[in-house]
Order: sequence, then C-alpha cells, then structure tokens
Amino acid sequence: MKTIRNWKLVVSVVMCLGLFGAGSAFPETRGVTKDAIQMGMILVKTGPVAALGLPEGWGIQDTFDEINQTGGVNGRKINLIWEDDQFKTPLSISAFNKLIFRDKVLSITCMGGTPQTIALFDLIDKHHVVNIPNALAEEFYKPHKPYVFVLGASYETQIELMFDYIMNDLKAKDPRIAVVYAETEFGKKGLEAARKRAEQYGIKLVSELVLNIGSVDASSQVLSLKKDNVDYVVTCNLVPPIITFLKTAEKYDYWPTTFGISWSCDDMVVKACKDASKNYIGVNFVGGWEDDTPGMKRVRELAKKNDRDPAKMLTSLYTIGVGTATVLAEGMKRAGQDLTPESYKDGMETLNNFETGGIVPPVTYSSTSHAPTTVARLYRAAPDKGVMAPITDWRSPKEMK
Amino acid sequence: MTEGAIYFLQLVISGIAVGSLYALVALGFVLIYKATDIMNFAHGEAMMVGAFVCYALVVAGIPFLWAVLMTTVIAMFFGLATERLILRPMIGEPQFAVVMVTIGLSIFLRSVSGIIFGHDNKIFPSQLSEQTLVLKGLVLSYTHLWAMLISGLMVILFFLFFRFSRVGLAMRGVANDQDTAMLMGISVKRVFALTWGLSFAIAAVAGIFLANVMVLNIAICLVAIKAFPAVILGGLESIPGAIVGGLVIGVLETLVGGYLDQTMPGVKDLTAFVVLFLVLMIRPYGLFGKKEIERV
Repeated sequence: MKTIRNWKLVVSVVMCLGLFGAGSAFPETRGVTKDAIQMGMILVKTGPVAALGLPEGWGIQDTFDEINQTGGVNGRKINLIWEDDQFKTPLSISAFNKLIFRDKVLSITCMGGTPQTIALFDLIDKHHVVNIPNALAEEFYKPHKPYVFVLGASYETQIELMFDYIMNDLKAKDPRIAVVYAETEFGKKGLEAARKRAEQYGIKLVSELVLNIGSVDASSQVLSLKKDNVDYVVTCNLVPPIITFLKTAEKYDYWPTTFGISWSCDDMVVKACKDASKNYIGVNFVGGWEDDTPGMKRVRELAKKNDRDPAKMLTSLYTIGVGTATVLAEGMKRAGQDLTPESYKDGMETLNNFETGGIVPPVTYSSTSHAPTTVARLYRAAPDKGVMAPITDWRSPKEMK
Repeated sequence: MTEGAIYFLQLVISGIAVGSLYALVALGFVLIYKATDIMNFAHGEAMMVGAFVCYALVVAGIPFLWAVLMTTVIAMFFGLATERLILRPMIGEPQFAVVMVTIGLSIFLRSVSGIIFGHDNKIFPSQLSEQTLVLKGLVLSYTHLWAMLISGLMVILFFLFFRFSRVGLAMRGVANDQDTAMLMGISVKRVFALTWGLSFAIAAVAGIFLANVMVLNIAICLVAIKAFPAVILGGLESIPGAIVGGLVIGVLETLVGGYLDQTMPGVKDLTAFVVLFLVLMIRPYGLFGKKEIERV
C-alpha cells in the first residue's frame, strides 16, 4: 500500500515538474504561442462607410498573409481576427473587449476611427494594446500615449502643407481661402488646423462651410464660395462629398484650386470627376499608386495577387493598410522571441527612420514620442490619366510661430 | 437682374432640382401609406437596390434606357415578392408590428446588398447628359431637369390613376377602410401587392437618379431620411403633397445653406428636421393631408 502511495507521489511530482518546465520554456503571453500570434483588427467592413475600411483592412490582411507565406515573424504565423465596428463607437468597444478577453489577442492593429480610438484610450493603456490607429488627430500622441503609435502625417500637418503650398509655391497674394469640412471629428480637427494656420499667415478665412457625408448636392456651398470670390478651397472630407463638390463646382463654371486631405486624395476622385477635378490637389502620406518605388511596386503586386481591383477600391487606403501592417510586423520582429505587449512596444520604439520603400515616409518612434512623421506629399489630379500625380517631394510644413 | 437677385434665384432653382429628387423618394413613401396605412421604413433600401441593379445592368453592357426599364420591372416584381412573403402574413397584425417588420427588412436589404453588390464606392456610368442648361445666367443640369420632369409626370399619372382608374379607386377604398373595402368586393391582398410593386418601382427610379448625382454605395439609402420630412410636410397620404413637400424642403435647405451656413455652419442639414418638428407641432396632418390621419 505504501509503495503504491509513494509511486503516486512520484508521478504527481514528475507531472508537476513537467508542467512547470513547459511553462518555464514558454511562459504564457496573451495571444502568443510557440508558432502563432493572435492579432485583432477593428475596422468597418459593412454599412455606409465600409468603402473606407475595406481597402485598408485588405491591405493589412494581405500583408500579414504575405509575411506568413515567407515564414512569419520570428517563426510565428500571424492570425488576424477582423472585427467590424460599422464605424460605431459602442460596437468598437465591444469588439475590443471580445478581442482581448475571448480571442486573447496580443494587440489590435487599429480601433475603427478617431472617435472610437479616443473612446478606447483607457482600455488600450490598461491592457497594453500596441496599435496604429487609422486616424491622425494630434491628441493621439499629445500627451504621449505609450501604446498608440501614429502613422502618417496628422490632419494638422496636412492642412499646414496646403496653406504653405498656396503661400509659398503658388505665391498667392492676399488669397481668398475658405474651408469646407464634414461635421465629423476629423473634419473639425481640419477646420481648427486651418484657422490656426491662416492666423499664422495673417489671413482671414473667407468662410467655413459644412458639406456632410451623404449630401445629395453642394450647390449652396459652391454658390456661396463663388459669390465670395474664393480662390482656394481647403477641404477636410471624404471621397464622396469631394466628388459631389467638384462636380457641382463644374456645373456652375467655378474653378477654385481645391485641396483635400489624405482621406480624399485618391484616384477615384479623378476617375469620377474627370475634367471637374483638374484644379484638385490632395495631400497624402502614402506613395502614389503608380509610383516607381520598390514599396509601391510591392503594394501593386500584393493587390494583384489577392485580386484587389484598383479601379474598384480606394487605392490610397489599401496602401495605408500595407504600410500599417509592414510597420507593425517590423515592431514584432524587433521584439524578438520573447514577444509580450511590453516587448512589442519596445520593439516599435526602436524604429528609427525605418524605410518601407516609398509606401510611407521613413518611420521613427522613441520611448518618449509616438508622434507621426511630419512629412507628406502633394498630388494634383491628372484627368487625362485618371490619377492623382505627385507634384512635390515629401515635405514638412514650414516652421511658423 | 442684380447679383443678389441672381444668387437668390440660382439657389431657388438648385433647391427645386434637389427637391425634385426628394419628391421622387417621398412619392414612394406616400403611395404605400395611402393604400396600406403603413410607413415603409425600408423605402430607402428599395431605392438603393434599384440603383445597384441598374448599375449592374449598365456595367453588363445593357443600354441605359433599357437598363432603367428592366430595373423598374425587376423592382416591381421585387415589391410584389416582398409583399407576398413578408407583409401579407402581417395582415391583421398591429400597425406597430408591421412597421417593425419594415425596419427589419431595411436592415436585411442593406446587408444583402452589401454581400451581393459590395460595400465599395461605385461611380454610376451616367448616361444622363452632364451638360448644363444656362438661361440668363441661371444654371441647371440636365440630370436635375430630368428628375424634375419625371417627378411632375409621376404626379400627373398618379393623380389620374387614383382619380379615374378602378385599381386606383380600389386602393383609395382599401386605405380608407379595409373591412368595408373587402365587403365591397375589393381584393385587399391584390391592392396591397400592387401598391408595394408600384412603390418599389418608383423607389428604383429615384435611386437611379440619385446614383447619377452621387457616389453609389450603401449610404445612398440614407437620402430617404431627408425625404421623410417632405412626406410629413406634404401630408402622409397626399401625392401632390409629396411633390410639394419635397420641393419645399429642397428649396428651404438650399436657401438656408446659401444664406445662413456661413454664420451657423451645419444649419443646412438641420433645416428639413426643423420643418418636420414645426409641421408635427402646428399641422401634424401636413399641408395636404387629412385631419383624421394616424401617425406612426
């Protein structure tokens, strides 16, 4: 009897040691196993603004798939779980909780948009969720948020570049500038930035008009701008309202130079508006679809390989997706074998002028700043080619007091 | 004319153009309410489906006019099927339940359309001339001109239909009192089916016009929300009311945008709903509605 008891004791001790040993060899980390990494993504894929989320999500998905096909990150395959928030903050919060508590993901690539990310700041911090938000507001990095890494030029930078272009490249004398914006978080950020930059240049904005997403017509806005002899229209809006605006302006034979931020700097505007887009200039922090750079060549190949038709999607957003996934994967790689939320963050913070081959400008983060680059490029509509063609190199806004 | 007068007139004309699009949308709402006493909250989605179907046909190489005709017929059958499969089982149920069914239908149609047609932005290969008509400095696009003509034509046709045709009279009878209409030998089921078919066909036409002036995506169905105040303003069961309501909302919205948006940014998009509140408070049965109508 005693022998049996001793034998059971020995087996139990051996099993415990075995388990302990296995645990020591691979300590349990949320979302990380020996050969896989669970990643989440919150991006709209159904509903009225799905056209924005889908191409970006495809870009991220395709890039991770490509990385998996070439061996993964440090031998681990990335398993991406895409949650649809329909661009609604409550859904975004529930998706976040599902990804963290049920799917136990290591991190979440993006949080849905500006309001969603702001609503999730506390949870991101609490659960140490490394992410690159698909929005560009200044409060994402001011004050410093340890787990939020902003990629791309902020709305403020983009608007500043538009004013700089008007004042320094076009050498406008007493320009009459108006702002047309969507009544959304990003639209209001753009308006604030335009007011600030106009003040720095000593200009008074002629008018500030709202053009909301889903507007049937922009006649009142266009007629009002025309009456006020506005020469330059700075917009902070999405592709559909910009198309409506440019087509309406053409109808009234009104041809101001119109500027758009990255969300509306897309070839689709040119394809839809044709000649109506001839005075349209966009600011963007990603390479042009036809750019002859290694990065953009890779983006085009990825799209082709995955049957993403550039004529049917917002190509600039697909490019942002590829850029986002490339940067996130590099951060993971730099975190090494011991991948945890903390080591992932540390890995991201070692990025110093990280080159994506022209997909996005060189990326730099540090332990004290996750601010995005301050460089972007200006593109002008080329109706004959149906594309937004670059008209400047990467540039930063002029330093002004 | 002074510059100020031209500006005002141009805003009014643009408002009429936009209003005629709202009127087309409102017409479908009214048609169903007039005959069945149901407010169809899936009307915007019916419009969206029509626009997608026409887009698919044009992209497949079918000439635009044929595509419009085919879409109208398809939409009509779709309306008939909707009535037969979804709404007929609801006959006799409380009105609230039927309205909830239309809300469910709207969500279903939006999701299914996304699956079938995709969630991306589509540029409708517009066959309506993008040229503009300029008269004494006042500008109007041919697309809007067509929308105005079609709206006007619809009013006349429906006025004649409801006034003089047997089916039209039967529809009015059913709307007035379903039990009495049945006792008079009117097939209420057939009237309902026809109404839904016609309403979906009109929705398709409205959707096609909207797709010609906007980017085509799922969000196009949200225009129906703008047409709703037009319906209330005109009177829930008045066809001329839908047209007048649409035009008034379109003109008011554009005038407010042209004169007040600079000082109160965003007020333009509130106009329709301010009108909605005012009408509901002051004249809940609308400009042309009957006092005894029930609101949902």
